[in-house]
Amino acid sequence: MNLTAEVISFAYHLERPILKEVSLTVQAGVVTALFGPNGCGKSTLLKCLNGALRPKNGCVKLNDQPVNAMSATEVARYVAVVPQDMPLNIPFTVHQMVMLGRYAHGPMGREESDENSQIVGSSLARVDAISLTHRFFSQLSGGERQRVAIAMALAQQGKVLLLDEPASHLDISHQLEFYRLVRQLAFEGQAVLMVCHDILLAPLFTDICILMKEGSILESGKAEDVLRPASLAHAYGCHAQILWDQDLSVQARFGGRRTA
Amino acid sequence: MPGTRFLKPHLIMMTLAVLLLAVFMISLMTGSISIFFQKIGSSLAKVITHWRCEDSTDRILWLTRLPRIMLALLVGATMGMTGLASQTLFRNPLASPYIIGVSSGAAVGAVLGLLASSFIPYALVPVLSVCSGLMVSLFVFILAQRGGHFGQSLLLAGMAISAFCSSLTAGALYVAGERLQTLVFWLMGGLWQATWMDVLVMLPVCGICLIALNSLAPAMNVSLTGDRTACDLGVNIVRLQRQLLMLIAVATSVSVSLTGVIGFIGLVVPHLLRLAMGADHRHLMPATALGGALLLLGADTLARTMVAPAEIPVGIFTALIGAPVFLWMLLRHGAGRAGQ
Repeated sequence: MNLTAEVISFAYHLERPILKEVSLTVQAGVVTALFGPNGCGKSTLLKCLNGALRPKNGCVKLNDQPVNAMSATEVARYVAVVPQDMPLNIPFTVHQMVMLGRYAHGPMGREESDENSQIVGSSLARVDAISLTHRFFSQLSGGERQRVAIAMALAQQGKVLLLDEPASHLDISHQLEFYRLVRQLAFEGQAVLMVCHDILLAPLFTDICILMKEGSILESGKAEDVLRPASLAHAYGCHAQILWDQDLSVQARFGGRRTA
Repeated sequence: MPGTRFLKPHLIMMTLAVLLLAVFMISLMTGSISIFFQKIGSSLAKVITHWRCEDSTDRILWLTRLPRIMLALLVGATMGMTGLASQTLFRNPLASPYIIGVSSGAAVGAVLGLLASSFIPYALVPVLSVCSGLMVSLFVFILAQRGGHFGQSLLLAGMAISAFCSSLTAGALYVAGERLQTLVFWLMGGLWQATWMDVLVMLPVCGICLIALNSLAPAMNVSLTGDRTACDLGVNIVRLQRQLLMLIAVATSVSVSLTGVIGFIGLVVPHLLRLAMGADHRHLMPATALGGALLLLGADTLARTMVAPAEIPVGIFTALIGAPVFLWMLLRHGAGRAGQ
């Protein structure tokens, strides 16, 4: 199942557009990473992609159906989102939280059935969070919360997974584990799009990289083509030369001095 | 943190139901005259077979006590459930149905109606009260939609309108003259005028709340994760907020017009039960209905028996019990952690 944005534009205020005629496809079986400086519209793009925001122009389609014509429940059955953050004071245990991921699957999804419990268990297992099952969500660390958020999205069992800086709070071992999980999900046929800031690690595990700036897509393609020194300088205004290898090695050299 | 292991929801609901039955029987037996089991039984048989009340015992039981008890049950259950609904709607454990200004709106309507009672029939007063309560909540709702964050704007608009209505009520009290006592009594809230008519009005309101809020329980669970995530998980959050607000407004204005402003039930009951059994609305909602009914019936029974044949206004009573309990919970658990 593919999710396609067709020349979408979006603005909270007319004079300051956030997205300018963005087109992209999140393909089944492919991991796509979305890079770009802070405030360039990455998160807004994700919100448009699952219909949480309605673009001013253009259209988002799930296969051939416009997302904005579907109900929130219908979309949630196919598209799962891992948010950047959630409120801290959610009064549920981890088990209850992940169970909420089953909501979109109708009345059956809202019961404590064996099937649902099993889905919750396996989702938690995939993010190495089984031991958190009976803890309160409000008492977890940032990284633990992030893993639970990913488990919630997995429990949704959609076909498309949109992640907003999913690895930002994870330690290095959980980061690697997370990227491997994402690859595995793509191998299982999911379409994955993740918003990232980690230009060193993430490209090792992605198929397509997209670079955004000021609401437009600058380039998209393979990491070594998209994240060239010239385009990194253009998008981020910093000088860096990065080389990635298939055997998970990465070399980076940054321009400038150590002190400001 | 205390309460990582919650009590089993069904155990709590069973306990509440048994307690409710006990208080129901006690309430039926006690009062200005005591009536015991056998008498109740024979009187019930008599009333059912002949379908009319013959002596004063019958009349006290079936025309005074029973409607009052039934009204207490229905209003208490409704206030418990709408209290939980408002706490979820605002994602704030300190919210109560009164916070969106329904009650002060309904109070204004009733007080103005009572003031004008020489010109309009007395039966119109509750109608006026319901209408003004609904109008105020509609107004608050419209104001809130123009603001940014829905819950917060709603809270602020509700507070502003409440203050405005309170000053209107105070003004009405100031010019009330000889009607002052009627007004004050009404404002304090009480069930002493309960009739079967009131019960008939409240029954569908309570029934609709029970059915609607229980069916919205899974969506309310999801809504606690925040507007954005709830939407991602498949809940139409705007529609949910509208539905909750409408239920709260209608149920609260009807119960305020029948019994006056009885505080703290909608605040304390959901909060206490959440501490005991966790925040899952699928269990919490029916439990708050039972708990609210139990608290109001218990308080009302105390209110009319402690200094019988006089009685203490039940509104005073619920606040007198409710406020210290609430403070205790606040100090023990911290509103932020224990609540939402």
